[in-house]
Amino acid sequence: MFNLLKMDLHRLTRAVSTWIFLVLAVGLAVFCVAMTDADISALAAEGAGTAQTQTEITRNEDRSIGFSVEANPEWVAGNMNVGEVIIEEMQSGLLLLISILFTAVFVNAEQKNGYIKNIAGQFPNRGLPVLSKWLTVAFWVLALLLAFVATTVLAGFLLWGDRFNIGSVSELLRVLGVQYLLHLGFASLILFLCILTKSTAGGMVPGILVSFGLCVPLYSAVNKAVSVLFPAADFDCSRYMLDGNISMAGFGAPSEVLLRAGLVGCVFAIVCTALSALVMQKRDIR
Amino acid sequence: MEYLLTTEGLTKQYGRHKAVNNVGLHVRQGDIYGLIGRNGAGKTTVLKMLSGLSAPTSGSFTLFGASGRKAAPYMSRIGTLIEAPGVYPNMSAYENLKLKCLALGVRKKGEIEELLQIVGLSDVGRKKVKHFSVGMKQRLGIALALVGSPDLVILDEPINGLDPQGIAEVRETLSKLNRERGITLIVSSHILEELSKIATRYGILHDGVLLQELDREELLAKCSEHIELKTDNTRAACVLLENMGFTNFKVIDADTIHIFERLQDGGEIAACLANHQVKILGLTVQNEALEEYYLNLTGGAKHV
Repeated sequence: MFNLLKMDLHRLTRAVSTWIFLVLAVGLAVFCVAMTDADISALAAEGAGTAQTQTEITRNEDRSIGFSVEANPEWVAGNMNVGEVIIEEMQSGLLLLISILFTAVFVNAEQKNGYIKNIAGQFPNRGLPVLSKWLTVAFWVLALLLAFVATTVLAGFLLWGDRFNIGSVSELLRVLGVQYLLHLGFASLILFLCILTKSTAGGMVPGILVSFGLCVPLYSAVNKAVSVLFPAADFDCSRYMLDGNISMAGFGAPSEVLLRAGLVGCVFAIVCTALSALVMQKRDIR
Repeated sequence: MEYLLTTEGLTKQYGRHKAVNNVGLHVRQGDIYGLIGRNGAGKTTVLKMLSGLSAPTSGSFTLFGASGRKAAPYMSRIGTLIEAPGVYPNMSAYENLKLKCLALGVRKKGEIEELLQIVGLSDVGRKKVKHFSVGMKQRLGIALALVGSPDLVILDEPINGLDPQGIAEVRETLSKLNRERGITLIVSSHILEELSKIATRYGILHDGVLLQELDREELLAKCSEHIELKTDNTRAACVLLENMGFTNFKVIDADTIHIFERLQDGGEIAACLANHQVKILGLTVQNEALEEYYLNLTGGAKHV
């Protein structure tokens, strides 16, 4: 297992896609900060009277389709909290999109070019290569998150100077930790889809669609169906989905929301990795 | 007889189709085992099952004397090249080998350079694999199979896509590995003449069934030398051959007779037939090729 992990980490550092996607994440972080700054300028020009108050996302119906970063109207005149800006930009879905694209490319490379044939037969448990790949992806998602955070902080300080203050570090770490688990859960889902379909597109396309928010209408339909069947139930299926929790687990979200989001991330990560290992173990290598 | 690998009733079924049916192979330590069969005969499926890439529907195999779950630890002693070589095109040959070395925990210094040298890729070890020719990729695939000094190497069609010089080089490499390192090889091919140049034991597979297993000596005896006599009157020629004391001959078709004895008496046969006005269209000493033997065994040319 340790040897397989060493192999995957070695490939991670040698693969061009690793660095391309990291550079893309850095670029997107700068882009998001610049767009937020443009939003703040627009809000300032409109005047405080016409400025909309930011909506906290607590239900599926509050979510929008597509990638967007909303500037908090309070940022126009007041101080900007580093954590709030970072999490707001992470919730746009752009970071999730990058992790989806990378995971699909990285995981499926071995199956696509047939390298898996060189190693799969040598290990009594074929689930081990899957576990090793999951650990490598987990490491990369962490690196991606750290690169994104570092770039956002640096760009924020350059643009907003003293107005951009650190605030509560423990709160930031808590929310970042939950967001990491959710992004890792999503990467695990892509890993499973790629192994199941033996195709990069098989994991990438559903991932892109979900990250774009195209499941929002589906979740609404499920919620309506449940409310018709059980009128008393306060059911919202997006609370148990990765994309829904990425939107809800924001800076300043209640502890129970963060706890639930963290659990959803962990459950998806464990279940998807276990299923991937099972598929690999049971299926013939072609 | 101590076998390194044996299979018992090895079967692989896809739906209703049995790709491999009740195959029982016997591979000895130090053998170069040639698995012969046309495309679709089930060679790759057998080799995939032996490599651990595919699970048999039924049957089992014994590896280094251990079978079932007990054989699992020995799977790491097998090197494989199944179908096209699995390589990362954007990495160099060196990097591809390094990945497998890391996966298998091979830490021997100079291992990669040695492997590149064995397969003749030393000069292009740092070149990206996407710029390799088919033959170079095939040789890299063989090098990958040799990582970790395996005791048994399974090669599926290793000479596919190689030019004549490449084929000769691979043949020489395999013979050398077998001779100098004592590596047991299972090599499948449908290019029978090439296989016949290196294999010490053969398994003939047809429609998923193992028709025959035989040693090189047994095969040579079966593919015996003979005189091929072509004449416009086989009936008269047969009478004359009998009169000359020949008993071991066979009429192949309307104008061909194969004579399996007294191969040095071609001149005498020619003279006798000429004296009796039996026209000779051709008289040559031939060796029945492995291919011919295979075709006869599997039901003739209609199968190829």
